[in-house]
Amino acid sequence: MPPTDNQGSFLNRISIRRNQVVYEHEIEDLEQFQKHVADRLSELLPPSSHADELAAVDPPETLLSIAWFRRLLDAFLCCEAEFKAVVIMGRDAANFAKSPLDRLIPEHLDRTVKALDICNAITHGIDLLLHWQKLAQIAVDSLQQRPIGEGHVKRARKALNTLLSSITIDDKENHHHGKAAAAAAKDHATIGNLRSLSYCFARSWSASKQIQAMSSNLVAPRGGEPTGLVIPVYLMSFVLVFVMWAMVAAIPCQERTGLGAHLQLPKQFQWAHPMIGLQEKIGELWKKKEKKGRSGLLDETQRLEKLGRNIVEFADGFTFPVEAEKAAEVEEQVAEMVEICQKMEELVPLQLQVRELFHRIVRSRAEALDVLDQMSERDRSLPIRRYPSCIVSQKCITFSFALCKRVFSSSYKTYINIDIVVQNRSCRLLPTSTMGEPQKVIFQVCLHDCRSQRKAMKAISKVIGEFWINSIEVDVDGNNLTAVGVFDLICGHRKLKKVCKKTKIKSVEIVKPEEPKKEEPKKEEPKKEEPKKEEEPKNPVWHYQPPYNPCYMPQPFYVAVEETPHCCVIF
Amino acid sequence: MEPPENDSQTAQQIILRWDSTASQLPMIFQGDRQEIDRYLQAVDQIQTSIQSTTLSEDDGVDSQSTNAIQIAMARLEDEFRNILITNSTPIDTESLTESVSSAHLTPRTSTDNDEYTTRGEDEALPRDPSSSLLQRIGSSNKFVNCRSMNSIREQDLIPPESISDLRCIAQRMITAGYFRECVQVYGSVRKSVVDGSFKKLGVEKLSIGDIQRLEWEALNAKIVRWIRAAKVCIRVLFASEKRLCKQIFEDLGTAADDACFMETVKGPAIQLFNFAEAISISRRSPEKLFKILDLHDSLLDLLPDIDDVFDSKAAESISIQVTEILSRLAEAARGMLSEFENAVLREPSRVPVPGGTIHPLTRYVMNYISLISDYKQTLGELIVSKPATASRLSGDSNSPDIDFTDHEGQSPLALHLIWIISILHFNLEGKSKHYKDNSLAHLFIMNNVHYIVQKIKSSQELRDMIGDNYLRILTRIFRQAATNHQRATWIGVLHCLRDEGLHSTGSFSSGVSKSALRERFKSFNAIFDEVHRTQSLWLIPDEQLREELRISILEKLIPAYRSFLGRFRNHIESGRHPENYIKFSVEYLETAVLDLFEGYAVNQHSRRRSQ
Repeated sequence: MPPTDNQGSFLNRISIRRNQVVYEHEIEDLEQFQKHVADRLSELLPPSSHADELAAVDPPETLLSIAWFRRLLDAFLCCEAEFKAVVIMGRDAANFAKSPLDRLIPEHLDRTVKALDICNAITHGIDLLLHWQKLAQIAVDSLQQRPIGEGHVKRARKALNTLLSSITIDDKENHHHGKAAAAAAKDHATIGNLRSLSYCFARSWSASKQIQAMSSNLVAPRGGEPTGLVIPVYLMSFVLVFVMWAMVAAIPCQERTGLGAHLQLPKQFQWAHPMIGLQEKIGELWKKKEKKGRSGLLDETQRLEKLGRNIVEFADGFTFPVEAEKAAEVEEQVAEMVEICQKMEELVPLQLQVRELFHRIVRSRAEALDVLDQMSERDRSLPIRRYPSCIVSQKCITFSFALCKRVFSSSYKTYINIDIVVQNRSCRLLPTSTMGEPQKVIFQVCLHDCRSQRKAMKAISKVIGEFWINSIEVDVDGNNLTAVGVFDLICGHRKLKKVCKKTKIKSVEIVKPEEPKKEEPKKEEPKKEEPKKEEEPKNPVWHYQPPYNPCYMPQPFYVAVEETPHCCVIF
Repeated sequence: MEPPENDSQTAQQIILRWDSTASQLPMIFQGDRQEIDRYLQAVDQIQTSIQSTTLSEDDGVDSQSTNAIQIAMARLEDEFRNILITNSTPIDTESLTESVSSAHLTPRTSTDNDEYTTRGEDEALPRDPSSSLLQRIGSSNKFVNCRSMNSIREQDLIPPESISDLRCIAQRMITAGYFRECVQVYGSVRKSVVDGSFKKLGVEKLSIGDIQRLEWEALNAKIVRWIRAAKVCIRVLFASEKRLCKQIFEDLGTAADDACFMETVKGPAIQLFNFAEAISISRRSPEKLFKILDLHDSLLDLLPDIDDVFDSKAAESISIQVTEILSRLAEAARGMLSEFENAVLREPSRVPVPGGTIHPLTRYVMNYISLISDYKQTLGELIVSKPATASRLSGDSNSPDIDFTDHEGQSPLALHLIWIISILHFNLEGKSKHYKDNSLAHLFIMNNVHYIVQKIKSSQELRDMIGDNYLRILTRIFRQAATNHQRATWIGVLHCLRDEGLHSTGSFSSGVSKSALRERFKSFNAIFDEVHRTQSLWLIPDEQLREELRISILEKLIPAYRSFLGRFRNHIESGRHPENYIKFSVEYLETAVLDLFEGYAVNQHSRRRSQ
């Protein structure tokens, strides 16, 4: 049975059964969400398995390289943001009280806790990688000295030996932890051995066990039962497990033995296919790795290890002067190592990204918990909607509201430009850079009278979350609505759709692009051809860069202390 | 040209003599001072010769010199490590706990410090819920002390002469371009020392999952211990490490001291704060509030010192993390307060408390509130919004309606307290409906609201926060309940004692209808007996209130009965069997009323016989 049919029929069923309850657009959102997850993940597949035109556009990074991981995390952050917007935010708790979800959501939350631990362990592992990078850098630096002398070679050899023993010890420890490793560490008594001995958790903690625990109770929902939210929750759990699994496989992490090479993948869902592809590839590599007993699947580490061995070999047989042939060979290897070292510089942002991941998971967990608590608290139903407790956004919203009103009452214009300079407010908000890049989004709308325009602007200004909007514009004939600011695109789209059903996202661009090629419409062409329902937005611009920021600041609680009267008003 | 050449050759010889790869040699720096100086001098000499030859492009000499310098550096690296390892005793925690805990104790005990340090650890942990209340109050006092007493105190981790040796070596290594090696060696050795200190301080490596699984009681103890450990870690351990880095690496270029410091401390610091982070994201429940506040307080208190210690660019992430944790803890505290409000509002028990006495919920909530007032300072900073009242859920009959305009000018926290009390009252009103006897329901409300008022009055802080305004409202509520109770009970009794209906109809003053009068006395006796029997089972725990209510009853009942008796006694006594109709004397009523609200059954017959 082709998986597409299955999914389609499933969604149709929901829409028939719950027609009165769930609005059309909500179902569409959920469907979109699944599609986007699949899209994002399939971008990560290496080109060989995929259509040719993809490779032509943008040569993707090597599987399991640092750059690949950065993209993987980006993709995950996007999924997470959309998941939050679609599934959790602004939803009535009653939705979660029903049969499968009341079990699924707590299970998902359990998984997130484990994921948080893994994040911490990974952060720790990245520190170890950075340590290796420094050692490699020593070797590279001394081998690049001209003219090369015996001293330089010796120095490089020493550093590389330390590096290699650190890698293998780290590995040995994974296999028979305890005395053997300690003894080995004593034998070498070199730099870095001590480091690998200190782990961030108690000895009994094991990454592979965590992964196992995360995936063990992850069972695909059966086709018939669920409400619309079951699949997204399951999907999200799944993506979470997958990402964690990939990271544990690649980055040195406490106690990885017994990490399964396979995850139970639900073949019947379309969104799972790219993941299955990735998983098979990584699983193969992992099996090979386990036999050889080497450390970490990370592309850079493996290459580093290989090069290290070669260069040490060369250094062992080093006599002065060097033969020209050999020198050239070594030079090549050194150059490669330089390149790897440069790539490994990316580890620092990767580490920050892991941290950001951590924060995101914490935040959506907190929000989900809020909803759950609310659910358990009340036996009689209250008409409460619980919104995330973000202070800044509420302030901004009221503020922009006021401005909207003023503009509209003062003059009758078709071209309206509201520019809200939030920073001028008495409460000093965080500078834009700490909250993510401002983006300029153009929505294609159909707003021909003043009233609907006003409604639309109200709606977009109500986008909730820790975001703000700098300006909203509706152009003369009411076909385009441009919003500039730091806000959740998906949320905005949802809000707008309530006003104007035909709203589509026309374009998204980051106002101050950090990485220039980020938002190029890479691949909308092949996707667009697929026959979809009539309301499909023209192009899947969903791969917007997540508001990821290197210097992450949390919820602005200083602002709260100053004057905001809303921080406890969660419900 | 000759002399420098010779010099450099002798220098090379010195270095080759100490080649650590060639043979097992003792450490230079454990030996003769002169030898050390000679060696360092030799290294310097070769270093300068390399620098000069790079200009003159003399291949042969250069190769020799670089070789020599490599050997020297390997040697120096070993020396460096050796010095560090010989000086790697973990931090002296004994003296630290003493100094930190004596800081708390100075106001209480200043003589028996030594004894306290050993036992103090266990004593500070709350044993059971009843004592934990006192403990919490005690601990909040403690913080005031900490704030004034505690600050960064560095210790000497390594004796000064070793420091100067280390500095000599570090200087050579950095000049020769061996900066990275130097940092690596330093970091790895010192880090293991810090790990050792962590073990001594009892900083555990717990994962977030572990912490989520822990029982609250156990976690409670861990939080107390963590707070103490964190203080030592920041103010003594990390600060001393920082100073050590400064002493060894200051002015050696390329921010060596910061790099070394971070290399040493980053991992441990992350490990330390992981615990607080895990606490800050754990599930919220009201009973955790005060421990969370303790944690928040102490972190906030530590924050300036953390900023001080981690002030470099590389260390920024640590202080950012702490700020994040703080804001999350604050958020958690807010969440817990509103959770508490919800819990109070929705507390579902429906079984009425026998005797209309104080409901356990009332006691619990009031104790909680007085704890909140103990944490007034912290919570006052955290709670900045008015409570979410019924106005937002308009049309909702499941929560009380309160207008905060009456309480303008009060802090948000105070408004929250008022709100909690009013939802408590609301909930109690709901519970009172489950009493079958209306009069008992009123008594129940009276008792509970009176308890609330007394509780507020007993604590000056609470009283200041709640304000006289609201206190008056509460007083009015329980007075009203008392009146209602009396009305509900005694109106039937007094009804029997009225004049109307006794005079035979139609005729003017022909006299009193005897049968009606007998009926009246009979029903009075029956009702009073009933009231006496039931209501002596009821309970007013507060003595004064009980007394007041009895007096108020007597004031109404006795004059009415006396005058009724005075007017109609003759009619009954002139008939047959007067004792069947006039059962109670005025004096008996007076004593009988004193039986009311004591909470236990009285044997009426024995009492009557003794009359």
